[in-house]
Amino acid sequence: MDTHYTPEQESFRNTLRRFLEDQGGTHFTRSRWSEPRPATAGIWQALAALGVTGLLAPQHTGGLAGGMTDMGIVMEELGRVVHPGPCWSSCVGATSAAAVFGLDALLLALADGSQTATLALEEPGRRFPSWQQAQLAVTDDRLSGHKIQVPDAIGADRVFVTTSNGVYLVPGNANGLTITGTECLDGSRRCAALQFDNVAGTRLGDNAQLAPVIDRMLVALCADGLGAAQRALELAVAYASERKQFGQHIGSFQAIAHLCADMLQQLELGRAGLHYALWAQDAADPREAHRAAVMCKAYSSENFPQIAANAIQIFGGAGFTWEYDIQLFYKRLLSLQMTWGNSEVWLEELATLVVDVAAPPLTVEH
Amino acid sequence: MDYHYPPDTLLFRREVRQWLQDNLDEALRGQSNRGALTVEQLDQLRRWNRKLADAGYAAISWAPEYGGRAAGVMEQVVLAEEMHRADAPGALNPIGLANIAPSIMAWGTEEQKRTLLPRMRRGDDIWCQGFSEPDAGSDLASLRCRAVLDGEHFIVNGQKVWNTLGHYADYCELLVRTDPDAPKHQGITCLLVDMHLPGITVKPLTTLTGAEEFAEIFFTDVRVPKSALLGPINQGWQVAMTTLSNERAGVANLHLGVRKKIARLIQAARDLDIDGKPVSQDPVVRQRLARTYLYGEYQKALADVCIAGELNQRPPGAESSITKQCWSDIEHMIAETSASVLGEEAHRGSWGDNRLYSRATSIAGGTTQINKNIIARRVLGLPKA
Repeated sequence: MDTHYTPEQESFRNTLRRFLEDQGGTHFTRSRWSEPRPATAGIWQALAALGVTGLLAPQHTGGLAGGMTDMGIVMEELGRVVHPGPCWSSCVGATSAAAVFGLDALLLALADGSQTATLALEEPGRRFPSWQQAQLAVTDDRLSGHKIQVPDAIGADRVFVTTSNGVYLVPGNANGLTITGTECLDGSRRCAALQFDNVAGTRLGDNAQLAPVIDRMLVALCADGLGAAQRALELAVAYASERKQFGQHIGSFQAIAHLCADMLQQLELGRAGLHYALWAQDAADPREAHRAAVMCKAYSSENFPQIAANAIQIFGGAGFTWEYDIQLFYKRLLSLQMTWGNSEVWLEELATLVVDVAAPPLTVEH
Repeated sequence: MDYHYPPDTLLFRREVRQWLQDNLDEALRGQSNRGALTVEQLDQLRRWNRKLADAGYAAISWAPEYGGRAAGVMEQVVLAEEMHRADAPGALNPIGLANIAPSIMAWGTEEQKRTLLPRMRRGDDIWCQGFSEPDAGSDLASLRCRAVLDGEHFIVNGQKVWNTLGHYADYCELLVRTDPDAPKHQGITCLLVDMHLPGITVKPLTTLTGAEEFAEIFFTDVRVPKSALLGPINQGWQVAMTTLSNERAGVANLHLGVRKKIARLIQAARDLDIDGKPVSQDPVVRQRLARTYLYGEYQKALADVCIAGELNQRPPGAESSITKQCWSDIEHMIAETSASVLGEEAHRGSWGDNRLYSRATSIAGGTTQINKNIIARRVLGLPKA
């Protein structure tokens, strides 16, 4: 039994951290802020060489056949520098979806970094957890309707689309598909609205087949959030240890110290739940993996943004400037909060799993 | 990462489960080993404690020479889980076994170990800690209870307070000031005091729940034999710190009681009809229940991190310093959620007690505010004032 990463995994983390720092860390993100396609070909190819793009792909498609515990490391490190590339949508989401449907050619292209892909799930006016009941119309394998909040859609080579007739795969440049970038206060993430006008697609299977993919993506998003929240706390503690007022370091004031202690508590409790959820995606049955993912998203959406908000408070006026990085983490965590359903939405989903049943399921003594 | 318990714990779990099934009286199920106990309940619990001890389950982490089985962390965890599953009361001396005994083992003479530990293990002697004083709470090291060496005896004068089980106790691990001129951490000595000595008066303190759970102890010219000294004279602070660090190591199992309570609360919400439908269907109640459940489950996830850390021999990290606080937060949350879910029902019986009792969780064993000071300085490395 262990809840920690292995030394091999930690060494992978260090390699990745060094690489992202060499790329300029948050400077890279700032240089690509709100660009329609934020990842440069150079950085994407380098991530492919490090094994990030193929981490979850099976070996026979050039991947490393890693698990979500491995991917958790990647996401944490990307969150630490608020990296803007399409890793979440493509390396976690589309790669897992392509594996579910056995799309080896696509897996090969995703793994070697030559292509990216995404998932179009959300529709206007619906809460995220009901994504399986997609309404997008299909007639003779032609898609018509709207999708919103599609991550990293601009530049994606393929899009997995949930519809009223199951999951379809369409090319990103398909005739009749209009992709429009959506305004977002977090310039480190890209979303788009997709309009389908009689778009030809290939049917892959039922929407429900994507369920484990969605759970993985929820947990991966939270892992990114953990990395961002941890960095926000580190920055706040460093600032409180060096900034002086009234002749003292502000971190020696209990009002500041207790705020930091609260942030650590929120962070570490979140880490405990997140690590369990990552492991559950790899090793527990689907029902348990889902329960862990739901809890993880509900907790992270509620707590991680608060950590960054309190970090801004500790920075005072400096925290409210464009110049200081702390704002980047706050924005990243606000998009974690809102992406694919906020805390309230997932608590309601959790209630259906644990309140509406005769005996609430408890994390078992394995 | 691997959240599976090691395979050999399964055998131990079966053994314990079977033993509890064969030995636990129905009447004892659900009986608390804390709070106000009648003399009859105390006797009953003492018999149960002996049974546990004789089967080797009362202090399994102790070395075999003291009657334990040198059990590792996994066996301690599994035993606690199975005791909870069976609703079995714990041993009578939770503080003695978990906190005082480690100090005796680390600092005690052979004579002390041989005579005191077996009786503690069987519940023959009940132990309390005499640490806090009216003017020495969070600032424990400013304690003033005096002990003056007079030939073969210490003469003890002073007062202690918040002594859990004090009014039942046969022995007390007592911190006294032996050198008033030394810096405050260096003039303290630890004594193992027989509570039946003349000059000791114990007054039960009634808590805000109405229970007599702890006591205040008055020492007036009490002649304590020199042999009661635990560890070197004037090094009582170090002795006390052995105790306290063990107190923190034992918190990993706190989630067990919490999660049982949450499951009971969810059931209560399903059973209670308001306006013709179960209150569990109210959207606001559902949010609160789900959030409470979530934090209960996360307390377990945190416990797993602590357990795995000990199992893999890592030094305690941030997880162990926040565990007590997370537990206190979830206890507060359960109390508030019970009121929101059950309305007036939450102010009666066990839910009422629970709501009031929850206030103690952020005070006892170190207040939340003191914990935050410690976390800020020792874990986060923030500067001292």
